Amino acid sequence: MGNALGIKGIMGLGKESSYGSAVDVTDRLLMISEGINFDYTDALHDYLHGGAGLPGMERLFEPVSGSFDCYVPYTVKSNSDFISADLLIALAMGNSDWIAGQGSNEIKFVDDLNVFGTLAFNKWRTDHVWEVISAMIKSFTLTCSLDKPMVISAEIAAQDLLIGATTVNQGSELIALPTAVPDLIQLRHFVFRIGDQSGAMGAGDTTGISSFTINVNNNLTDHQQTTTDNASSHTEPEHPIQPVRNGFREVTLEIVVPRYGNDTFFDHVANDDNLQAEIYATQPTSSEEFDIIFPNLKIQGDPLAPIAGAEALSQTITFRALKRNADSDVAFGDAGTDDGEMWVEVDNDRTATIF
Amino acid sequence: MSNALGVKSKATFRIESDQGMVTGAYPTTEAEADLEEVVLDGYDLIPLASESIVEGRENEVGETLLGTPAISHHDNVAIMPGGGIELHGFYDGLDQLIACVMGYEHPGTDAAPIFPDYTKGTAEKTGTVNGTQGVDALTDTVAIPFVEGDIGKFAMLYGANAEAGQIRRISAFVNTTGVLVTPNWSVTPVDASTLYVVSQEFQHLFELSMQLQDELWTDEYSSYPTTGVGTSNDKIIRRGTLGFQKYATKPWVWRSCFINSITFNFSAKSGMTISIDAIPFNLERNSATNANATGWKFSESPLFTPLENERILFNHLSGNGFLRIDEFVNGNMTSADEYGISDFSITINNNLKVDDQDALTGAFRVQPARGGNREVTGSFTMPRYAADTFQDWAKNNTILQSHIKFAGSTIATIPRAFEIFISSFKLEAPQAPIAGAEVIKQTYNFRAIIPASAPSFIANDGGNPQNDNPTQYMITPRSELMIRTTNQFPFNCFRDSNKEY
Repeated sequence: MGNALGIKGIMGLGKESSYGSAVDVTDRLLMISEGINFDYTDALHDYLHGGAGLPGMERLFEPVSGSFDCYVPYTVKSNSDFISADLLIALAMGNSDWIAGQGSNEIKFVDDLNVFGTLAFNKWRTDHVWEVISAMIKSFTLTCSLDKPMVISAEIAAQDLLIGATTVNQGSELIALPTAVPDLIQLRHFVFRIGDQSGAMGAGDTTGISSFTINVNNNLTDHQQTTTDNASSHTEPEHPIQPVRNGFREVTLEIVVPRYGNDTFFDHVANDDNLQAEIYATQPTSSEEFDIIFPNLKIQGDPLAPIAGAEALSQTITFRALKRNADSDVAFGDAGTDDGEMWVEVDNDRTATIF
Repeated sequence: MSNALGVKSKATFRIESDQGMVTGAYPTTEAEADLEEVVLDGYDLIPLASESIVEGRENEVGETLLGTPAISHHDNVAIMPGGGIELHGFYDGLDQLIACVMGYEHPGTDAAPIFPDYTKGTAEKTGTVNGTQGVDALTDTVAIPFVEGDIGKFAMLYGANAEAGQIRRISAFVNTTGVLVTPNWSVTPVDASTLYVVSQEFQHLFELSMQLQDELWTDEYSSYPTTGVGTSNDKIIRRGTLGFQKYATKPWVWRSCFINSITFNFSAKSGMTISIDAIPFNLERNSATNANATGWKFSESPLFTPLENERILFNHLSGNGFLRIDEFVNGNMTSADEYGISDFSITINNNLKVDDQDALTGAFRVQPARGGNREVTGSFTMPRYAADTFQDWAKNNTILQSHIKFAGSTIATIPRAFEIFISSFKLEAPQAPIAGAEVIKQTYNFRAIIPASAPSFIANDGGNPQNDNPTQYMITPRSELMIRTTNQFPFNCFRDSNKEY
C-alpha cells in the first residue's frame, strides 16, 4: 500500500444539476495545491458529572470547506472531457452563454448564484477518491505576474465530502481524464487597456503592467444547519443547507505598474473618474483567447508610488468594479453587453456552452 | 518623460505660511492650502531615506438595495493624508522638522535675540551699523570689520528698534566697510542705531510646547519681541510644506503638514536614523508655487560645508561627544557619568487628534490638536552587565537625567553638534536575561517626565560657550526634553526670517 504522494494528485470538476447529488467530473483542473477538509462541529459532554474527565463527544454538524489553487490554461477538449479552468470560473460567476458566431463562451455574473459542482481528487489511493459534493464558490482570485502563469485560487463551501469506494467518481475515471499538455495563460499573452469612459478602448489606453490580481467575493452565507425540510428536499440535517447570497458581490482589480512615468492614475483618482478596462490574452500560436472585461471601475483608496529607497518607483493601484453604467463603451466580441461588473469571454477548444 | 527613480528622489520641508505669520491659518479647503503653501528652495532639503505618505482616501461603497448584487456606487467620503518618512541623521536639514514636532524655539527679545544664537563661535562679528545704509547693504564705517571671506555668512539685526529680527545672507563684498545682502532688508538699518551680528555658525535650542495648533506668539510667550519686524498679531505656526521629487518636473507637495511623532535611533556601527509620522492637509501634484525641485539644497551659502552635509554617526558620541546619565538631584554631569550604551532610541509622540472632519473642511481634516498626553519614551541597550547601577535606579524608581551629545567636524571655529537633553526620566522594564551562551546584555525602557526644577546638565565652559548648560525658557511647565543643534542653519524656525524666497 503506497503512501499518498502529491505528485499522484489528480483533480476533476463536474457541474451538478441537483444540490447534494454528485456527478462524474468532466474537466481536469491543473491543481497546484488544495486544502479542502471536513469542518466538523462536535458537542462535548462537558456537564458536571462528578469527575474531571470528559465523558463523551457527539457530532453536531458536518460542513465542508477549503480552498485550492490551479493554473489557468487555454481549454483543451478531448472527446467530451476537457482540461480547463473555465468551468470553475463559470460556476463561480454563475452563467455561461455559447456565442456560435464568435465561437466563444461569454461568462457572466448572475444575481442568484445557484450553480455548484462535484470536485474529485486522488490523494493516496486511486480507489479512495476524495469527492466534494455540491461545492459552491464563495470567492476566487485570479493572479498573473511575471514569475508564473495565471493562477486561480478558489474558496469553496460544500455540502459533503466522501472518501472511498462509494464515491460517484472512481480513481480510474480521474486517471482517464484528458492528459494533453495545454498552453498556460501567461502575463506576456495579455494586453491591458484601461481608460476613462470617453469612447472605445484603443492603443492609447494600453498600459504596461507587471502583475494583476482580481478578487471576486460572492458573499455567500456561512454554513447553516437546519432540520429536514420538504420544500428544499433537505433530508440530511448533519449537512449544511445550500448557501445563498448574503450581501453585495465584491469585485476588485489590483495592478502593479513597474514604472512611475506619468500621473494618469493619480489624476483619475483626483477627478473621481469612472474607468473601463480590457485585459485580453491571446495565445501566440493558436490565437485562442481569454478576455476579461470591466465595464465600470473606480480607483479604491490611494494609488501608491512611494519612495521606498534607492530603487525605481512603481505604482500599485486598486480598483473596485461596479455595475455597468450607461457611459461604458466596452462590449463582448459580438458587441453584446451585460450589467455585471466583470465579464469573461473565452475562445478555445470548446464548441458549446460550458454548461 | 523620465521614470521615477529612487536614486533621483529628494525631499524638502519648510515651515509655513506663505501668507505670513499674521494672516496664515490652517486651511479648510484646497484653495486655502494653495495660499498656505510656501516656496521650497535652498535651505529646505531634508536627508530622505524613504517615504510612504498616502492621501488616505476613504471610500464608501453604496449598499443601497437596488435589486442587484452588483455594487453601483463608490464615493469618496474622506481625504486624510498621513504616513511615514525615514530620514538619515545629518547635522543640517533637520531643524525645521524638529521645531514642528517640539513646538518652541525661544525668540528672546529684540534687544537680545536668543535663538538662533549667532555668538557661539569665535569668528562672529558684532557692532552697530555706521555710515550711509542701503536697502541691500550692511555698512559699518567705524569698525571696518568686513573681509572677502564674509560672503556667505549671515547678518542678523537686533536692538530695540524697528529693524530688529531681520536675517539676510551676505552676497557680495564691497569693501572693508560694507557688504551687500540678499534679499533686500524689509526695514533698512539705521545709522548709528541698529545692532548687527554676523556669523556662519548657529546654535538652536528646541523645547516642548503646550500647544501645536496655530496660536498667537504672545499666548506662548508674553514678551515676544514686537519692537522690530515682529508684531503682536504674529502667530507661531508649527506646520510646514513638505515636498518630494518623484518622477515629473513638478514635485509632490504636501501642504500644512504636522509632525505627530519623531523617533531618533542610533546604534553602534551605524549612522543615526529618524522616523517621522507626518500628517499633511492635502497633496498637490501640479503646484503653481513649487513648479520644480531644481533649487532644493541644504543651504544657499557658498560657505556651507561639506557640500553634501555631514552625517551624525554613532561614533560621534566619543571624542567631543558623549552619552551621560546620572541622578537628577546630582546636577551637573561629567565624564564620570558616561556609560557604554550600544543602542539608543527616543520617541516624541504628540498624540495629535487627526481624524476629525466638519462641515467647513468637507472631506479634509480639521486642524490636528493634542488629543492626549505627549509621550517621550525610549529604550537603550548596554552590551555588558558588569554593575547594578541601572538595575538599582530602576528598582529605586530614581529620577534620572541625560545629556547625549553627537559632535562632528568643525564648521569654521566650533564643532557642529546634535544634543538631546532629557530633563527627567525614570527607567521601566529593566532586563538582563541569560539568553544563551552569549554575553549578558542589559536593556531598559524609559519615560521622560516634567522636571521638578531647572535641570543642570553640564557646568558652563567659559572658553567654549557652545557647550554651556541650556537654559529652559518654557517653564510652566518645563520641558521633559530639549534638543540643541549647532550647525549652519541661520534662521529662527518660527519667525519667518528666511526672506530669500
